[in-house]
Amino acid sequence: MSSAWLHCVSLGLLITGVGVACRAEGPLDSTPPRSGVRAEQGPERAKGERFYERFFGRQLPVSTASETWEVTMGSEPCAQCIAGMAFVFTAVRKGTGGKYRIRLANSPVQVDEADLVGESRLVVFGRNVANFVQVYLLALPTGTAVDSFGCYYPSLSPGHRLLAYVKAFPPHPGPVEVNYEYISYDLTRSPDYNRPHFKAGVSYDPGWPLYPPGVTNAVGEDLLPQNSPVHALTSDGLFWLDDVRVAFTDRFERLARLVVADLSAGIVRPEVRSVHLDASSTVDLGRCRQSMPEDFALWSTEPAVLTRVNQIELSPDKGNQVRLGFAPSSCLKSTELTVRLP
Amino acid sequence: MRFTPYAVLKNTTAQPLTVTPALNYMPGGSPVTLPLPVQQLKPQETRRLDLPSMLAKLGLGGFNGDANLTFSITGHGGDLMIATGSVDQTGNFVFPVPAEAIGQSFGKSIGHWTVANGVDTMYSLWNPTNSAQDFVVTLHYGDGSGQYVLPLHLAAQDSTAIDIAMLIAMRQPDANGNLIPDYIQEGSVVFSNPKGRTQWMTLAVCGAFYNPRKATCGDYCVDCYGYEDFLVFADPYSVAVGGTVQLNAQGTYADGSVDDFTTSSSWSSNSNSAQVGANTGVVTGVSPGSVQISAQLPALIDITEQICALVGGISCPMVIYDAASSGSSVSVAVTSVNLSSDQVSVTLSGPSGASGQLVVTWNGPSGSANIASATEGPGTYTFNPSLSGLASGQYTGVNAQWTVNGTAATGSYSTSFYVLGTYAQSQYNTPAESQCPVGNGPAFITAVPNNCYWNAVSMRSKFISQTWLNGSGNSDVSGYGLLQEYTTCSAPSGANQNYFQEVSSITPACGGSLSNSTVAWPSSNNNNLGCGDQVLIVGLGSGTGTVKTVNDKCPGCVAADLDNYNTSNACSLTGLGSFQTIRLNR
Repeated sequence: MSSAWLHCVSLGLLITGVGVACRAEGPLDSTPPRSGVRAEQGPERAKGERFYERFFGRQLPVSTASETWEVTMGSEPCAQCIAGMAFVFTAVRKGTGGKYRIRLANSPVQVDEADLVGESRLVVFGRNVANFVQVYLLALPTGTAVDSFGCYYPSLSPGHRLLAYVKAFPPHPGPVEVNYEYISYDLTRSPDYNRPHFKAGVSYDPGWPLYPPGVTNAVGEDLLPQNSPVHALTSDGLFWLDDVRVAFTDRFERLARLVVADLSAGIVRPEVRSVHLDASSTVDLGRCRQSMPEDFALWSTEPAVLTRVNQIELSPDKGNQVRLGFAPSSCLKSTELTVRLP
Repeated sequence: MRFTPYAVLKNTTAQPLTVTPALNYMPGGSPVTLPLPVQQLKPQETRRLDLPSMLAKLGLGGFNGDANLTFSITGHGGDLMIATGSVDQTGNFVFPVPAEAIGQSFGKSIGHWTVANGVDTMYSLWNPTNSAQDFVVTLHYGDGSGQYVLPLHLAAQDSTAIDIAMLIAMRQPDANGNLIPDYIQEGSVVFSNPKGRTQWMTLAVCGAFYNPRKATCGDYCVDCYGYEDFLVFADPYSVAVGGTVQLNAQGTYADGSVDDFTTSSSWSSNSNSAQVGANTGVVTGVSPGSVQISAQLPALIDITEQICALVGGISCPMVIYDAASSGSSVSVAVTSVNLSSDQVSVTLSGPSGASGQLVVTWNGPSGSANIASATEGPGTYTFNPSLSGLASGQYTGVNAQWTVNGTAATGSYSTSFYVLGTYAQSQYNTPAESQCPVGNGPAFITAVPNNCYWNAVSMRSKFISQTWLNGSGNSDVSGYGLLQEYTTCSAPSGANQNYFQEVSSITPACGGSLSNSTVAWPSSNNNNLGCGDQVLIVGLGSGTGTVKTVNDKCPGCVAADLDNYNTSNACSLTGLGSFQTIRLNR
């Protein structure tokens, strides 16, 4: 099964038969499972920092634990590995004291985070380049590879069951445009379940599409001819509002939208709604006319590009509203905006 | 006791001198002027005039009162010495009357009057002109506690006398309601034009004191009120080349007040380094150097002791004073700004010895950001400002200000750059360049011609896999790296409609070629950069930093990230670190 360990590649065909390819689908419970304890990932992160925003090239300690497992990470030499070493996880079953050694085949250059998915799976996030994230889904206690794929901006749901991310594309794709596709993946399900099956004979990347409307997550679908209008993420990642709702902001043809996907009915049938974010409610062009004169001519025609959302969360007071936080900029009226949940 | 007038004349010249005497007196309160016999004085001759006989011939043999004698000559002050007064028949008691040259003046003053110890002070005042004049007589109290102002009108040729003791005894308040207090027994007096202290008047003044009980008397010196302490300020001064500075000329009046004569003076410069407005005192810097600016003030009365110094001499003298200020014409220029070498050069120009505060600042997003601040003289200075500490935002140049003698010369340098902030610097390269233990393969480049784009179904799985590798490949495929679809709508003969061409180098999104001096920018979320921009990565490499050119996209990079192309053959290229990153040239 070692051939299943390809980076950033749709592996559906290669790993068919691995795991339990259960197609049955049921509603998701928005209550996080008791075993889904947030991992301890080395030194405490800065507030809101995503692991893929950490400096690439500095391996920090990685560990995680639940009621059943305690997992720590080490490494050993590996002549055939890209970094010259392989990462080795030690999983200790609490109570019995059983110890399991899991060697991460095709180890990436750097591992940033590991999280337990229920009591039977471990998801590991690594990187070979600065921003592109390798996701490894392993079965416990054997360490058998369940699935592996690459993506951008992965975001794990509070209960560790769902993963939302941006569909993989070449980091330096040449003279093409990248149309961001937002994907969800159920870490408790099989690789086959997590591959769309819209059309026979078409290869699909891991995960079911959330947005934009009409995308299928087919291989290569997100690369468009140069100068094509494309969707782009304008928030610093994807944000889980609770265990089944994920939110992000997207820009397409000068318009920014807040997108909220409700996965309570499962990843195959997401309920996705969006609302237009009026740039004039946050951007004051007069403020940046003088502070950014060189760029003003360009930006004044597309004020949405001046906003970058760094936080999305349910309003503490009103559950039907979402509070957006913006990265500080001299062009902004305010760094906060509250909108009705779409 | 009867007093009779006397007059003794002396021709002090070596030439004959014609003297025309006249008598002025006030019969019935109206002035009358009568001619007296013309006197032809030989060189150096001294002659006593027989005034009683002359008066008798005019029918004034029994004249009793005050009279003014005038002696007119054509010559210079001092040509004729005069001794006049009155003397009793015994010759023991004399009232000397100092002769005074008649002429225009500002105010006149007598430094002392007294009514103490039986002494009285009297002033004889005569308007010798043919026009009525108004005067103000100001009696200053000796203890400085106040003054008494007495307005005075004298018709043409009118005379009057003021007896201080009598004035005090009359107890008439002045226009301001002041009375001379009884305890005030001495002071000084000023005679002036009521229109102002620098207005002209013509008034003959004689001051005398006498003590009838002791039978003593004497006369006072009459001072001309005028100016002294002429100067030009600021002194020293500085003017910026191309700039202006206002200089002022002023003089100090006898009463201590300071008057400005800037616009009534004639101004001149002794150097081509600066020009000055002929009647304005406005100095314009022309070129760096030292320069003296002079002001020739208008003709003014100098403070002099007129009567006592020159018996029978001149009227209040008018003088033309010159005043000057030495200064410098200075300039400051920001001669170069080189971010990549972290050097800002400033040249200060001016005469040797010029010194002042130099302040050099960035013109940045929050106003001025300091580069240097020091006291400097002429010369060229190069500063190495801290680039890593600059706040994020747009910068438009460097300003320099050199302040010498209170005048600021300024210079500026336009250069646009944008401080992006602290960016993570990651790396990428081709698989062929990554000497990984698992083997390497050729690089594959994707490209999408117009109207044709990726058809994943027809793409070989090998290439599909390779698409994602971006140089950090996987050992499970024989060739890996960047994959670029090269499709055409009219494929070459024998080829599939969509086919892929394997190439050995990467085509960057902006065109051109990749090198260690190129970077890819997060195109999807960073609008401050674009193809062709140059960035200075402060602290990367040796020296100030490294300048690289943006020629590729990195749509997956987070906002504050630059992906540096790297030809290193290391298997894995990790991050370079986080550095202040500056967009150059715009």
